[in-house]
Amino acid sequence: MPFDRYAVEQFLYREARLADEQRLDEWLTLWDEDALYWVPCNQDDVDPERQLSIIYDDHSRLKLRVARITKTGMAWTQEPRSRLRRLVSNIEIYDNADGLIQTFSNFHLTELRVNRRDPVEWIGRTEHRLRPGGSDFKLVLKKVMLINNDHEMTQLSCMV
Amino acid sequence: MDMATRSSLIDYAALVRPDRVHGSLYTDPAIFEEELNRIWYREWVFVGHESEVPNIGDYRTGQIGLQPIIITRGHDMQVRVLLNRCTHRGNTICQARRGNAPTFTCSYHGWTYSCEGDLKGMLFREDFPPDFKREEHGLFRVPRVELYRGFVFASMSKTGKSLKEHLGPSAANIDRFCDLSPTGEITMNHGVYQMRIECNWKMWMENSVDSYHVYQTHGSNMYLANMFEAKEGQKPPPPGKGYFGLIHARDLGNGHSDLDMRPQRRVTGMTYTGEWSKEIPESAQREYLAGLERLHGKEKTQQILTEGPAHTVIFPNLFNMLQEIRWCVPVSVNETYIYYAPCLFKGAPDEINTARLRRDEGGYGPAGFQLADDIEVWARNYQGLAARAQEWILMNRGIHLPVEPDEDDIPYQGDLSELTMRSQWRHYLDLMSSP
Repeated sequence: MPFDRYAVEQFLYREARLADEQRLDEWLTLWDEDALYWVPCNQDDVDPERQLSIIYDDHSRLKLRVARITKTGMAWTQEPRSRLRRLVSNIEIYDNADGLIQTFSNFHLTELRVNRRDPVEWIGRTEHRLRPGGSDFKLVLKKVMLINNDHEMTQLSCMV
Repeated sequence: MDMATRSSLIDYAALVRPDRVHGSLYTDPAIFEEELNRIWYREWVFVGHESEVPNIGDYRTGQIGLQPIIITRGHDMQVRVLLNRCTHRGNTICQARRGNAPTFTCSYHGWTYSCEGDLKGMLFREDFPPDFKREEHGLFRVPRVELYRGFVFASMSKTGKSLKEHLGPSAANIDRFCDLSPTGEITMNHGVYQMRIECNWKMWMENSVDSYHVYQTHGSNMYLANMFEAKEGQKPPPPGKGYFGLIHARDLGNGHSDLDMRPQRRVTGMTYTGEWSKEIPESAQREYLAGLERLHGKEKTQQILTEGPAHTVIFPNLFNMLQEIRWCVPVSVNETYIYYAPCLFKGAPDEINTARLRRDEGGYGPAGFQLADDIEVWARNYQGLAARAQEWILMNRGIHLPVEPDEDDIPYQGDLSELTMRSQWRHYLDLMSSP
């Protein structure tokens, strides 16, 4: 099935913007029920069944992750909420045999915590797998490979 | 050379009182320097677990205080702790965090060392004096290295208490954890969280046995379940102490302390396997239980599962919380590295070990639902300490309560007492003010 490059890019940019603007309830609607949000730890290509990940959320844990920030008022690392903005670039798009659209892109996210002097930089490469449906897509996989995933890092409470 | 015995100009007894400590203990760079010499370069320090280096030539780099080390497994299967420092000009000789290498070669002048630390080769050896002895220039071996059930401890001092004396009753807490494995062995080579926190190392150590902070720091988790049911914009009532107040704060001696959850578990009747999620198939649970019973017998197995793993800080840098090993490395007076590694049960069904990885990811990584908030609160705590017109930090919660020996003859207080921190500071004062 040929894909519409423009539509795929628009989806990636929208996903990034909703995360940046911390419109997390809206961001959550982009994900399908069988989704996996995966941020590997210690290197990019580890077996998550045998190795620890920074984030390995199925849909129900992702819902909790969002609710903790948006509903409890006690997720201190996001109270006050961070100011975020990211660049997404180097987008490569593949039409997979399994009917999913697979994309790879780079990102550079700057996080400013209101109570800190120095911003935090999050940099990495993202794999998205999108399921086409109607006029839009649903996220099935977002795998974020941080360049510092095998280094000492600060807490990661925004959506990379 | 022995910096540790140099007398101090700082009057620690004036800074550590029974119910409070002075803020400068967390913020004064001169005190940090003295801690390196009197604690980190003299006492037993946790450096890793032997399962991180299972094979000949395996290594992991790390630090004792600020000093770079390599933990290696030699051809004799011995675990060694070597300084990561070429004996020629002092370069670090190993750059990777972990790996396998039969030799380490310095990138400066090509001096090459075996994984046992012996100097094996040099560029243009013929140019050195004729009396140069290669065997005198091996990597510096940390003088004392001892293992307890796979936990590797090292001391930069040639003399002092044995590890067994140092651990005292806290060793039983390591046992409680390892005994939950159907082979009696745990492994710690399934990845590690590596984090940088913006505070003094002692704040991490204190917090690790602070039962009082849970309600507020981790309030998001305590409220989370109710939040889905509460009406929009409405807060559920704050949680009461409940069974949490039954936890014993215990002083294990030598600065070690724990939050003993057995009294709480006895009341709730919760067993270790009872805490597992329904996602672990029953067949795996049965296999696990059968393994434990083969090792310990039925009765002891029941006791082990009822007591569960411990929650212990072994001074100065090891925190064995339930199924994780956590440790800290000081970086400077206001910055600390912390490492959290899940420990899996050797010989247990895969479904059980994988479920335990998933549990850690939920709670304790940089993005974990609990630890991220701890890190934030520690940073705020450190920022607040810059306000020096107010000098003291309190740790007097429960100090008015009687201290009694428990069933193990270990002094304890209940009701979220800060006895744990007071015992850490008492030991700290001993170390910092002794000759």
